[in-house]
Amino acid sequence: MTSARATSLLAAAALFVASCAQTGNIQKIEPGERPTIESDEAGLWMQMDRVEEDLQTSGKVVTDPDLNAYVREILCQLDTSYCADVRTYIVRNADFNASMAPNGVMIVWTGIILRAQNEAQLASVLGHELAHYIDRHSLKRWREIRSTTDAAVFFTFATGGIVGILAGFAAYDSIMSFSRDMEREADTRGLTMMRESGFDPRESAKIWQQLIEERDASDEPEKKSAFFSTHPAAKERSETLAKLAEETDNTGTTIGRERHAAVTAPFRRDWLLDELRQRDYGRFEVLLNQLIEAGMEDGELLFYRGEMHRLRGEDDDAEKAIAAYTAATGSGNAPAETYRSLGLMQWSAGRTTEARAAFETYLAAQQDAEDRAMIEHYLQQMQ
Amino acid sequence: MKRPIAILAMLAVLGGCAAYSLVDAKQQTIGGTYTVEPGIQWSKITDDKVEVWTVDGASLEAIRFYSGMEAGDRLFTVSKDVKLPTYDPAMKASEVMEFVVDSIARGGAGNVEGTALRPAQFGTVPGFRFDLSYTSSDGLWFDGLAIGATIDGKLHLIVYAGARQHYFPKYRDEVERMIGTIETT
Ligand SMILES: [Zn+2]
Repeated sequence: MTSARATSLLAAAALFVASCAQTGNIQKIEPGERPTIESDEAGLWMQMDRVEEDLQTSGKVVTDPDLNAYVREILCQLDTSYCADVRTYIVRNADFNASMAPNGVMIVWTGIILRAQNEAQLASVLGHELAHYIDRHSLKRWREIRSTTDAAVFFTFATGGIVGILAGFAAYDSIMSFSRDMEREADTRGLTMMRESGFDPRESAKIWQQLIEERDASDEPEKKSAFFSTHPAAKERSETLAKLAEETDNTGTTIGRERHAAVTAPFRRDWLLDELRQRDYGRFEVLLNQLIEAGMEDGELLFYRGEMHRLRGEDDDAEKAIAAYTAATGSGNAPAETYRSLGLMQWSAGRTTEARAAFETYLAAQQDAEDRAMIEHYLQQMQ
Repeated sequence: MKRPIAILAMLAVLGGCAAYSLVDAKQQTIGGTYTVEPGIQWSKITDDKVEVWTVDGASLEAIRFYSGMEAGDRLFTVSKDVKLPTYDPAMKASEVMEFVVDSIARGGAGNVEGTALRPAQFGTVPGFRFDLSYTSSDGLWFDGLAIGATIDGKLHLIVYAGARQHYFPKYRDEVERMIGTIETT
């Protein structure tokens, strides 16, 4: 099994790493640099190389060439010299998170790409993660832990009860959670890279602000998102980043809203559905509003506003759902499913004439509807 | 990062704390509400409103028989933090499929899709059927199928799923045949 293999590899790597931990000052890594074979750093790399092999065949990795090329292009624009050393993996996950392994594996969750409203915001996340790589934060953290904890305990903790390779990364990530100083260092270097490569650094603080708004609207505010648990003090960081961005006039101005909207358009429906399935309706509503304000295709977003009300099903949600679907159909780019959902809601409300009309429009708009037989059956039932 | 609790892990836990018993190849009554007739021997564990049957292990393939699900019932429980969708007798077939699909997604699976929803007979009762696909938390592809019906406001549902490579196809014919033997009591 994959997980067993990953676990035994981690254990093997732990022994290897433990046997040759080194001390001393840690310089930033140079472009193209590889750790020497006998070093503890090589042990860390080896461990992640094996996990990366499994990651490459995981069904959770988004393989779309255009989307991958887009993310890489932004990364390489941030810093051309490190571009070849970092491999980006887009992982389908609704939460906002990204991580950086010492061997150059950068994982970007789709929840980040969905929430980034433009190229500059995505660049701010990629720049932050790249900075962790350049400043060898994993190695620093590893040596800090080595000096205080027994390596065996560390790795038992890191691999205990874990199913799967992504979970392996997750455990690695939480054990390897960087210190506040490292996070600050990554913020600063990331922002400098943004500025020098032409991105508007003011977007960096904005993405944090958006996340704070989402968190404040959450149905379960006490349940922190993955990101807030590994990246503390969002408000303070947002303010610091905003200040840093204003420090010099010599700065990039690219925001790249249209391009980001166009590249992500084919995926937005799936990613919004992933987010809706979290069933945190308060948070979802704020996210939708943010994307509408940012000028993303509104027919699709209004459809999802309807879906949110339909699924929540409290108080006047039924009528709000119908209103949102109706607004979506007036916008010109509503998905055909809007009519199906509208039909279901009208039928539940006892308005069979409206329900029939909606279902018929759905079938006309979606010639190859997967559920045509079922919808036709509904139409018969209503007669 | 947050670690979504995998369906696989959940099944493994189920398997660990409940004892499996053998199901012989003869007519079996599910929850006192319907019967099926397996053609091979399965192993099963039983919970409140569900029986999970498997041959090679529930993390590879399993058929789950739900009976008498009522308002507020969940397909399974993961942990207290994970809000799973609840069943509502007012659900149309489209919404029952959504309920199943969203539950699997909340259980930690990715790329979850329900497709080809269509009317089907659940024994002699008019019901519905659909197909499933998803990736486990390990990133392994699974296929599945489901058939169900609402009788007197209670949902009866059979969900079969297995790893796309080898396991789903291995018992598919047996599952299809068994579906053909459903009799509601
Ligand atoms: Zn960081």
